[in-house]
Amino acid sequence: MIFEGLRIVDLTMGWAGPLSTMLFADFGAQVIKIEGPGRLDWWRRGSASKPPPDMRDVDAKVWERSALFCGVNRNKLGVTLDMSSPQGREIFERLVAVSDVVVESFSPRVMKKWGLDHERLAEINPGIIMMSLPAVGSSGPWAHYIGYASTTEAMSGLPALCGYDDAPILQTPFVADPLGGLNGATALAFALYHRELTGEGQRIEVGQHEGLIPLIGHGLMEYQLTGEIPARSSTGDSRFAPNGCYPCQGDDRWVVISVATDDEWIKFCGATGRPELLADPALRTAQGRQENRGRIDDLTSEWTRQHDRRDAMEILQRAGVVAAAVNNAADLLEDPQVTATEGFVELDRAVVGRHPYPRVSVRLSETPGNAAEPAPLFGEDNDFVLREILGLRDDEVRELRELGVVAETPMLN
Amino acid sequence: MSVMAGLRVLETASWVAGQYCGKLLADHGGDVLKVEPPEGDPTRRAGPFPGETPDPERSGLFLHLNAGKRSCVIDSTCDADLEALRKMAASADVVVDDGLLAAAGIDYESLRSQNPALVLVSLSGFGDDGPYRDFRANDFAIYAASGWIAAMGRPDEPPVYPGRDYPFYIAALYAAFGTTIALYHARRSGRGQRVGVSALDAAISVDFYETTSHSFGVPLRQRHGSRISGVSSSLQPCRDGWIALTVNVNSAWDAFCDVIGAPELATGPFATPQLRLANADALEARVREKLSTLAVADVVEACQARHVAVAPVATVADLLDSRQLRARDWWQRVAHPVAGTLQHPGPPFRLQKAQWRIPGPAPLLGQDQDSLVTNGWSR
Repeated sequence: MIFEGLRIVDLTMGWAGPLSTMLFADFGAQVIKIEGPGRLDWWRRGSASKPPPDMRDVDAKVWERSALFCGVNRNKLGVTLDMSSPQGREIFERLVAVSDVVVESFSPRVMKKWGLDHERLAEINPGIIMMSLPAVGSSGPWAHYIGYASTTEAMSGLPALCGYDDAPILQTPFVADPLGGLNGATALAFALYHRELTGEGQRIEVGQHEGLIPLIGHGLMEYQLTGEIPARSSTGDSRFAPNGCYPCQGDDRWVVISVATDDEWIKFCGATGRPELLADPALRTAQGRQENRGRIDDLTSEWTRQHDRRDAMEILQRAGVVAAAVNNAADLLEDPQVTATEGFVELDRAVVGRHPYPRVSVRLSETPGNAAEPAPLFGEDNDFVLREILGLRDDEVRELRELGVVAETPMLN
Repeated sequence: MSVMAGLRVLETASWVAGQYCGKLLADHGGDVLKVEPPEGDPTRRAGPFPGETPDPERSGLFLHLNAGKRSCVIDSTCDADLEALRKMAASADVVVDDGLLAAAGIDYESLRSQNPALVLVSLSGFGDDGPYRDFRANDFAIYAASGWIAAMGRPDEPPVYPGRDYPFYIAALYAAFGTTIALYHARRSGRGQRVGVSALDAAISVDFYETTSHSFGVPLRQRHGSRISGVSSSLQPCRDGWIALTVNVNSAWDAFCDVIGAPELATGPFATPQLRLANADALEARVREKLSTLAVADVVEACQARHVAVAPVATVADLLDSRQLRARDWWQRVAHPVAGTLQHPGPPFRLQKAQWRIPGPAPLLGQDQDSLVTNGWSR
């Protein structure tokens, strides 16, 4: 594995930070994920947008049952360490001394409060790379803002461009978090490459707000060029027809169809068995089809209603028309393309059993990644890290447990 | 210094995934040479345009993605052009491609026999394998196929279009990450490799939230319009615009109700997260009534001062006027000979020892044609 021998100390929780380090774990880095004995990764509770389960249910090990936690922490080692205690910070500093990278996503003041800012870490280990992933940024009037996926997405401009004339809506995949993670992974890869070229470590800051805005770069440019704020369109590019989501056989079943060019219109009419439409001069041009959008949507729906959504997709695609069946999360697991290309891998984990997780999304031909090990249990690798990596004696480890600096069962009030 | 300084990148990619990947390399010092067809990249035709007049030098999308790159034109029906393309590809460090090489009959193995360290970034829509490998993809199709939109929109209406090209930006980040790993490997081993990313894989990876949760027995998410989960995770209108809130735990909800002058909305039928979810319609009506008299900036400031996650739903105009981004000196002004001077989005991340800078304006179509003739890289 390309990153074998690379050690990353990971203080992050939730989605963005853990995704950034998981990409390195997938390519062989040893990622040591640290949680507090009483300060669990908040994704162990499931989504921030759903009421949390009762984490104190010790028998059910509720903290091990989060799909979300399992989804972004595979291939990592699980360690607990009370960073608010001097003993915990001492262990952390010893880990920093033998690691390559530290990643954190606390609010900007936390690492400083612990005396563990980049300056200090570089004293301990001059080659260290330290990456921070604040919600907004470490400076500026909003530096202290609390951000979750939806609020970071909103302040970065995506919902204002999404939804209906009278109401914006949010992305359900919560793009802000994974984008923070992917920007973080890219930034960290750049920093490791820089270290390869120069031998230098450095500090990285990924303001999740700033990393998201380039996704609407087109709108920012267009506004400056035309003076108009781009309108929201629930059906996509309104210059074209048919273009949108059309109903299929079954309940809440849909297919997306996009016809932009005159050539595609000819193919669409052929594939849907409506050659008479070709003869209609009003529909020959994109502008004509736009003006008759209502009529085109009606006749398109008439055809799609008679078809299964995947059949509709295949008929149109084989004719050269852009179309795709709308999958929900369950459909995805049995989608012909996703199945054939092994889009998901199954991992077996204690407490929760076998479940599908997305494969390594970058396919490298010579140094492939591997989604091999499931997410660690709470404190699962405490002994390995304390004894094997740091060389602590039995009595030292015992004392840390007695002091509550490390634990294998969450210390919840 | 710039981390990718002097890196020779040949960008044959025609759409957003490859071009944003190329931008990440260019803004970190890479020498990115674009190869366009005689009519220009399709991104040059993406409007809207000023005065509704299409102009290949005034596309917002193209200007955003291609600032600081060079441009030359290849006619794929002309043998001499194809030979020049092959030579450029064989002398590059990285080729970022989304189909032109195969169409031109240039295969990676033959390039690599001349240049063993060459990294090929190969981007696709549905993937380069499997039954849909030849299917045509745009952003809307990937949103559909990846599960992205099934739960977006109003309950009684079709799933909605989420916005332009997001899966391709996500694919671009995976590609830039993979490219850097490949460069790291090439430096150690002298061997390049193929970096394959599909927009479908990329989109699935961000929607894992729903799929893996479903496997764990969590009910499938339904469409709830502007609400993600009740009112406490939703978008809501104020007097002068919209806010986003993620205010789930009781202490945060109490503070939010205080800020909007409605402490009663944290009691009785709205006292717990479960009750607030069950009575979401009634709660939303009461919250909206209160917010209708308040200004976005006031609600956001007051909530954030109490550590409550509320943010403005920013428009493009709000962003360009953001005091936060100004304080961070984030935007970069770039003067373009045809489109004029525009503010471009700033760095997506900041490395202390690796400079980020947009090297210059987007190229006019074919302005660097000489580079092709002389096989000219800047290094």
